[in-house]
Amino acid sequence: MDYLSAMESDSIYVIREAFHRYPRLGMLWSMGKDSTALLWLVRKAFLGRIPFPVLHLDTSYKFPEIYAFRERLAREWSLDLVVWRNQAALADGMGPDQGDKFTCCNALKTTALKQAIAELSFDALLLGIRRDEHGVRAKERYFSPRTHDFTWNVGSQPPELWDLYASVADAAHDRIHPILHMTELDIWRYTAREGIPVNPLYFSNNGQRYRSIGCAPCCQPVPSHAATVEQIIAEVEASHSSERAGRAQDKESAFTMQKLRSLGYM
Amino acid sequence: MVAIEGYDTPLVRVVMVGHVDHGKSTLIGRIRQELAPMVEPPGDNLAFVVDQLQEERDNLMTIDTTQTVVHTPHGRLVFIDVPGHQELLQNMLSGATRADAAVLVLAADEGVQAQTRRHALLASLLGLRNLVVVANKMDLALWREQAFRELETLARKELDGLGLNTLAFVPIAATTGANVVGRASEMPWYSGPTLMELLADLEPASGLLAAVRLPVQDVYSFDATPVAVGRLLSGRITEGDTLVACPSLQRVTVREIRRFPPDHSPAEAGAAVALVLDGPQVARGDVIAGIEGAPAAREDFDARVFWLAPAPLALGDEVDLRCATQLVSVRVTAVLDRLDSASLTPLPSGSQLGRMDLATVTLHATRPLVVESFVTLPPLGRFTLERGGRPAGFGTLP
Repeated sequence: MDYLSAMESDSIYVIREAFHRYPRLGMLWSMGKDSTALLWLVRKAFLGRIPFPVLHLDTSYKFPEIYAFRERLAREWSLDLVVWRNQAALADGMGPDQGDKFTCCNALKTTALKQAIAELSFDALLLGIRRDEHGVRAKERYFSPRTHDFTWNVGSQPPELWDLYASVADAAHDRIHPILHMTELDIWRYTAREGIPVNPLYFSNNGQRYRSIGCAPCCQPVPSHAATVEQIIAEVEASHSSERAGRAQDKESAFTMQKLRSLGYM
Repeated sequence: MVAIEGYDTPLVRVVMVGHVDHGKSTLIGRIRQELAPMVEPPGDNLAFVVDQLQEERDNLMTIDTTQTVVHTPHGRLVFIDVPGHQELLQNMLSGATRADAAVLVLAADEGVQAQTRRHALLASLLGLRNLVVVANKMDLALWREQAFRELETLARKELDGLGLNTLAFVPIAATTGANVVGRASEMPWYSGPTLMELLADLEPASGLLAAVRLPVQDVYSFDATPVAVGRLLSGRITEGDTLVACPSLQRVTVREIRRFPPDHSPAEAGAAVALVLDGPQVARGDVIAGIEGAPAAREDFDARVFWLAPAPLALGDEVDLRCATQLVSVRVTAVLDRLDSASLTPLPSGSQLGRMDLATVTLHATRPLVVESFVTLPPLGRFTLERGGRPAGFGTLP
């Protein structure tokens, strides 16, 4: 079996374990390449269906192309789409220009996620994070229990032996990471192989493209002439720079990502 | 599908094991620096390539397991870093159970220590029989051949009897890069392969069984037709095949292989499959198998068990056993041949298994369990033991 098929099989196994285990399962979708590949894997796991809600944590600062992509796939793939905003924080004027990135990410993403989990009673969520994105994400497990106060105790995670995922009774909710083992290059190769729709922000426009997408004010494009998925693959293969080099919240200080994640950031 | 070159490069996962502070993280950092340099290297300490938590950097010690991918001319290697501290053994196992092969890192100035023995024992138990041993920190032994030979002799003697196939002993220094990727001018007496030359020849673990084994993961009824799903561990399934559902041994016929997008071609080992079956209804935990040589279901069996929880596993205890998609309550009916994993010496006979002890344990299952020997088909020959929903130990079947 070729390695992309083996990776796909590993991901589908995790997705199906999660669906078997949790009565209230959902998935986070950011419309980026990773969570869109995850959405595709969910469709493959359930033979064309997505049998649970798909949650978008909307900071309201996303690129217009992200909203358009969301509406298109929601329609074409018949998604049970839930859009969640931290309305109270937005009403108070929270935004990337108000204070530091940490405070904004924490309010508009982490707190929004807490609200959505409480309001919609999810007991587990599928997330499209990958080990090679960031050194702290490299420490994650496939099944990651979170406590009632939402924290991730990175130093004392329960053992995860082989693919024998244990049920941990005392967790408030679990995060499940089915594409943890895939790299940026794997995602693009898989996207090409499967013909998965791609947000146009990833393609070159006037000599620049986005390698990682999120909120418009906090994402910087990289110089690129890649206009197709195949050209992106060639570019990533030749590249030595970090995928998240354009993401502001990773750069603020050395351990910002760890601090964000320990409080429940994705 | 679009065909793209390079899809078939094998991917081999290598775990670095060994005692705390013998240089596992630094070795991965060295390999990354030479073969996959980072644009923004995290300072002078090579271990920081994988030790990215604030606590890890403050204490200069790996706390949690990490994986990092390195592209080499021979294929793709995934390096798994694990903590060497005994209190973090559960994190070590979360990493090591994902590996195809192991590198045992041994510091030349300290030699064989408690976690060297314990990690070597676990490598053997986890089926990572192909082991490369590196004598690290050779700079501290003044690059002397005699120091290396003495270490090799001692380590071979200590690890003898673990059933490991030691591929080679390599004298290295992760901090300088000697014999990691390139050769070491400081050790002209060593003419064997460098560590990366040895790793280039590794192949992913592959199964020995050709017969069909498919643990049923779930049965979906999204429409009127139930669909059984699971990962095909071995063999090949074609529409029209007649198979048996274990442990009942009732026959089922594959009416249709379902995929999205639709594709009815045969399913190969390793694939996530979805089958419409004619015959009696199957359920999660059943194992679908070829008619010839279908696996026997067992209620009483011996296994090698390694215990992780602080509270011991005692004779008469009941715990949950998880094997592939089966979850069965088991009772301990005998504890034999207990071994101290830090010293690799037998413990006096006793009726319980303490934390980090290994023993042969006889288990009685409340329902028949479909298993294979670990050597024949690892996913059906290994299990975890859970207490209160948490893994408290694990084992393998002979």
